[in-house]
Amino acid sequence: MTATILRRRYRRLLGVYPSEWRAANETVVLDTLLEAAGPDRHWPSARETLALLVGGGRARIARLRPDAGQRGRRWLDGLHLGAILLTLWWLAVAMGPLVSWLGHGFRDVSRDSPAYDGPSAAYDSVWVVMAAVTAILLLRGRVKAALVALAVWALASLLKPWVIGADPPEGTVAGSLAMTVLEAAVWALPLLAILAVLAWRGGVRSRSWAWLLLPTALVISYEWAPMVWTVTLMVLLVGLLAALPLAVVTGEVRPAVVLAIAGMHSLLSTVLTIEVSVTSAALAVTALAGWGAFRTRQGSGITTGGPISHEDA
Amino acid sequence: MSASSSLREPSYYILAALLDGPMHGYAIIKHAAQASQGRVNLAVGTLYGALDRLAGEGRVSVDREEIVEGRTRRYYRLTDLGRQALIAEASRMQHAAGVVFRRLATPIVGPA
Repeated sequence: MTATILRRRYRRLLGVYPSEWRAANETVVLDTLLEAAGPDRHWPSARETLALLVGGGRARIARLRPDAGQRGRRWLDGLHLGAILLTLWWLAVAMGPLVSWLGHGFRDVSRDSPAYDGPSAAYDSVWVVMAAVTAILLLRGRVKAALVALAVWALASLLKPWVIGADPPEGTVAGSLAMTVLEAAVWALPLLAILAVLAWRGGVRSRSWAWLLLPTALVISYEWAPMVWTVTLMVLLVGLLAALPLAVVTGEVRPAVVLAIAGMHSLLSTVLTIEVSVTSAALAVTALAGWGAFRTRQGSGITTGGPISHEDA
Repeated sequence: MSASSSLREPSYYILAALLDGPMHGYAIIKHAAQASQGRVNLAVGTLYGALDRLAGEGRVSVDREEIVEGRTRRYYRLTDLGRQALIAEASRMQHAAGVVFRRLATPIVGPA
């Protein structure tokens, strides 16, 4: 009788363990607990209670922590998601004014100065198409093709002074071109670095089309809800700060990598000067790559057997 | 933590208990307490946490499950990897102990 009561109380305590763990171990552990408790005990002992609470917490954390072979995979997953977010971000950045301009019936959009006109729209259209192509290739897991698309996109962006004209209007085309090259370095170099790593390691899987909802939401917010834009940035920053300790505790690197790439880069390029943001972003991506490579080497290696590029097929 | 990391005391006594052959959870607890002269008194939750980890590292494996007097008992077995880790740790401690005992056996010569 007491055994039944005690069993029920211990079973309740085992609720702190994840359900898969309980399905596999509950009976054995309960029976061991009862055997260790002896016949006269009604309540779980403080010592066993503490051990179960700690054990349950550990089992939950262990479930989050990828095993050694998975760790490198998660890191690449993080880089891939980060690259997708960055591409979608730049897609939204060009698409916002363009959609806004089209929506206003070809009037000037005061938000953009100098006046947003036909040439600007044409330039942004090329940008939007190339960003969309790159994003779709990335979502399909076609990293090498995405790399080519990115290169075309970056080169096409250099045509800005000839399409739109010098900026400021009284400036020279050469001056504008220098500025455009710098801009291209800011947005294209980190992406190029990430895609190069992904192409090198291979084995990137395809992603849900639902990611395309993100630029859609950003474009809508650009036009109708500027607050959403600001809030998105804040969420990215807070998420970044929260993800780093989480990564340390659980060994789960993916959210940290994604948020570091997306949050930091978008924040830097809006808040800081071009030179500072390009340097920081490049440094951070390099550091992330190094960190990932280091962790991968520490574990039992990135491949759990055979070259991972087979997954591509 | 790599797969070749050293053993902590509870894990050491759990593996040592399994030297006698496959053993179920409660028997491991009793064996470890006895062998360590009461120092390693494992709580059940701690024991199974350690067994999960050791199994994940390939140092123990599940031998069988049996129902004895209405209680399910899961027997764990020492793997070759576990045996190697145990021997390595025992050698390390033997060496560490030797450092002290050899020093104590040799009288200090020189200025006091």
